[in-house]
Amino acid sequence: MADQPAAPARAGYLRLAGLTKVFPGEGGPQGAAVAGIDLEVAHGELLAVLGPSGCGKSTTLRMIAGLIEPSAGTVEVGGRDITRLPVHRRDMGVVFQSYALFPHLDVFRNVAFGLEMRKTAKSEVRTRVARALDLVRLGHLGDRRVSQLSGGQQQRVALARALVIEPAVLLLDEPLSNLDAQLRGAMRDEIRRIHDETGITTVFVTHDQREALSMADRVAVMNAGRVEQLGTPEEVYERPSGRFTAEFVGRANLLPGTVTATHGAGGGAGAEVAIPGLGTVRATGDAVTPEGRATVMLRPHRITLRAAGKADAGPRGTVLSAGYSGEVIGYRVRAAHDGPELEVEHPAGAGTAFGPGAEVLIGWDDAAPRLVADDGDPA
Amino acid sequence: MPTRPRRRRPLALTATAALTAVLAASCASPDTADGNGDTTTITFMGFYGTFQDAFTEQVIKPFEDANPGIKVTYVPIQNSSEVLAKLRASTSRPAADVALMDSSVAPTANEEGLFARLDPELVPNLDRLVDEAASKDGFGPGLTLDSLSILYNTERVDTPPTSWNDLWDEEYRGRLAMPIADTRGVALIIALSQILGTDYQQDIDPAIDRLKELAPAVETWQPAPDVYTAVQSGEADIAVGWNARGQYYQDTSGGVVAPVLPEEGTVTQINTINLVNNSPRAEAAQKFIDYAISAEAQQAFDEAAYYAPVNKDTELAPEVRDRTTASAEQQARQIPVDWSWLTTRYTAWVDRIKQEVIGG
Amino acid sequence: MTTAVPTAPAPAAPPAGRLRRHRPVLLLLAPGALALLLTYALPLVWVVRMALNRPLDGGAILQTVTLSTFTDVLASSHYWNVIGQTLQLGVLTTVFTLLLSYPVALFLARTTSRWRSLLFALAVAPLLISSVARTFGWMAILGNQGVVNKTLLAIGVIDDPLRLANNMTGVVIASTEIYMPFAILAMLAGFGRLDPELERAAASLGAGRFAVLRRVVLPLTAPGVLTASLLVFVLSLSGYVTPRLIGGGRVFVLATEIYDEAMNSLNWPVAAVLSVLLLLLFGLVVAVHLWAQRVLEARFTGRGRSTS
Repeated sequence: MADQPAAPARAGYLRLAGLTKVFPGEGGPQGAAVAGIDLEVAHGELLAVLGPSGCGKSTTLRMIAGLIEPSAGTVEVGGRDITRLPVHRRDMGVVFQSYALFPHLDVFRNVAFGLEMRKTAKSEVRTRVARALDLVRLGHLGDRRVSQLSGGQQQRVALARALVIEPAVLLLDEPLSNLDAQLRGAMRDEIRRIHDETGITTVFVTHDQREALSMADRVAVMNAGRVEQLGTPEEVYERPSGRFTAEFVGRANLLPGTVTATHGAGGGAGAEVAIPGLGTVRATGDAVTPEGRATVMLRPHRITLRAAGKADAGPRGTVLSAGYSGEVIGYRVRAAHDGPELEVEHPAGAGTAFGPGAEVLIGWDDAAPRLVADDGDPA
Repeated sequence: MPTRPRRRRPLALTATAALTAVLAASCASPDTADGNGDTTTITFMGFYGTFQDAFTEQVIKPFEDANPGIKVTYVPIQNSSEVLAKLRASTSRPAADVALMDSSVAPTANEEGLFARLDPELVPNLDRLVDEAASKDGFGPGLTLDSLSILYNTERVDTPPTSWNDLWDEEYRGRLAMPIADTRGVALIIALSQILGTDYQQDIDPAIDRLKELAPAVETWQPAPDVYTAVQSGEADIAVGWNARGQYYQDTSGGVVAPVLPEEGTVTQINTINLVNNSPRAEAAQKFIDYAISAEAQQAFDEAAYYAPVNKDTELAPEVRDRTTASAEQQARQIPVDWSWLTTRYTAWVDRIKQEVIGG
Repeated sequence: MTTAVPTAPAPAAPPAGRLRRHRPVLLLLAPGALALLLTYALPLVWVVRMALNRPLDGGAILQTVTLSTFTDVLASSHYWNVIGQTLQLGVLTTVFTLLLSYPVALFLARTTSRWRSLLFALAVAPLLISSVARTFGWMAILGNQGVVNKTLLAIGVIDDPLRLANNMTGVVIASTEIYMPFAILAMLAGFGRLDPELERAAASLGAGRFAVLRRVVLPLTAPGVLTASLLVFVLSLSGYVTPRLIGGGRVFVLATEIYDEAMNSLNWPVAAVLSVLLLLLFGLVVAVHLWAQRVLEARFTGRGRSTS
């Protein structure tokens, strides 16, 4: 890292330009596995690549690492084109989904491997490995065999092994998918802490939106070989650019309607949309079709239900089902008699619980409705 | 419930019956004939390969035709030691009734009681044998007479060898096949001792030293599958081998293989035919032995396989006779050998050949 | 045991209970155990008994109990030469077989080609042909009149035929080819820890091709190589056909020597002594193998280690 030219501002320490991979035998109607990705990751940034399995996110990661040769496009680090550089000269730290720890070496030798390849002096190897193991809080396990470690410990060793070489970029491929739910939460915080301590530019791939949102500085949502949206976790969640992102990042009710009025522009743009069964909804955003149609996104937890009295005004609905899952109760509600079916989440224990068949009044947070471009690709 | 035992019994009965039948068949078949006088089957252990083919055709078939009550089963064996091993392992119920054995091994079998003395009444041809083949102490007589020859490949050797000394010729260096870690080596030591003017019963060191000089020139000490095919294929150009098989291969190879009787003479090798001790079919077995050494059988077999006859009355066709050890030329230059004296020295000699000549 | 104490309450006698529980298993084992006893143990006892006899001249055997046949054999430089050549053949054959089989096995283990099964079948197909036939094939190739010498002579590279057959060279060449399928099979069976992801991990840490091979692939495949080396070494120690056919009578190994002593020299006690020595050699090889295997496994499991 020291010999790299200083990163030009925060933009584009790691740059992918038109990165494409077509596997032999593919490229027909399905398209390429990775279809021309342009992405810039700032120095010291933690970027999550989020997408369903088969969306090309792992392939992208492996092209960055040099494990898969791109069909087209370039990979640059610190202004240097490394597209044709072989893996072992790329200076990338990779944490594999399976961890890929060397079973014939103990923990210390696993972590020392990259340093030994760099012909680092023995005494320096010892101190750096010890520091890396301390960083992942495994300082006491240096002489253990890989087979004697738990899954979480193996994960930390893999992390230490990738970090100890102080790579230009740290790449994590589904790093938490092999851990149980408890450990996953702890490791999320752990990886974020290590990232903040080391400041290494990091790209990690995941299919879990909670991981992406909670850990990353920015999230790239991928679908079918392309980046659907790139933004901060909040942007991606609150202001999804399209139907795919809205539905993949968190859950969403997507309600098509007719635009009756628009106002404002840019960040302050908004519209009034008439939705059958719910009446007119004020939503932010400017995704309105030339024909005057729009899709309104309503997150389930931002919808409120109240017991409906005969005199109450406002949109009504009927509870179709209710599912208790500890923290929340998930309802399915039919708006009006022939309106759309809504997903609703209420914190459990707060307010009244409704049973199937209950008549409810449907309300929502005024800031909640958001216009989403209907890319015609329901997930 | 009563169905189960009823179903079981027939099954068990059938199995027992089948087993009994098989056992009876396997045990009894060789013996049955003696009992009801139909046929007696005797088992004969003889050498494998061309020997078996010729012997079956020329001796066993005519014998069976002449004696409708006797059948002969041929068990092919590799060498005399195998016969000894098989008979040692089956003293009470012998694995054969009649067996061939080299005259250097036979005395051991006689001494161990594996072979029985013949009844001269049943084997009248014992009186008609040449001296070399005569029965010793009443045990099995010689069946075949053969001798050690030099073999060469007529297509690859310009000047045919004529003397044992030619084996040392610079011309054949690296082209020799010398399968001498067996009886052939023992015979060669006797021939060399004769040439070197030493008595093999006193000292074989000179002969061994002479063979050591030959060692660097030898391509193989153990040609595979045998020395005759190695000479025929040109894998070796010059070799030592038995005359009878050499003559046979001369015919089948269209003259590529040629056996030579060295001018210094050669050593005769004798295979004996023996009655196995405790044979329950001793009478039929001796009848077969008598036929095998008869003038008629000897003529038929020797004309096919180029052994010299053991029966004085045998009249071989002259062109065959000249190619066997019975030729006038050969008879004039016989190197005498006492095979029964060799019985107790044989192993030590072969060990010396292996350890000092081949391994040295 | 159970029948002797019919009045004892069943659960009170654990050994009896265990016996009863295992009775079906023991019954199933009985035919195999009996067959092994008859075909393996008894002949072995017979061989050991024969080794305690003394050979007499002319192939006779003196029935006695003495170690003098052993001491005679061990005092003879010839038999030490035989043992030495047996080990030499074993080591050379094992080394060359491993060197040639390893790349093949590695390729077969790693390839994702759809021809993999076909290539695998081709690699082990020689097993379908008897080693006798294959040895004769090598004689046709390596002999003075063989393909190699004829070609080299014809193009003038050599003036005299190379001595490739009828000596140790020929035996090692033919044995190597004959044992290769065994080695490949044994290696493949022991390559379970090989994982392309580990090689990628090593590369990502800065290891070039050679370093990946030396630091990752070799250690991971070591158990398979060890099994293959045991198999090939033991097979070549006991090999008879190839040294006999292509050795030209000058390759003395235990297997051929045992045959010759038993079948040509009629010296059964010495043949038995040599057989016992061969068995002891096997025992030694297996012991070394077990030790090496334990050391190797300890590297993976971390058990039984002293220091790192």
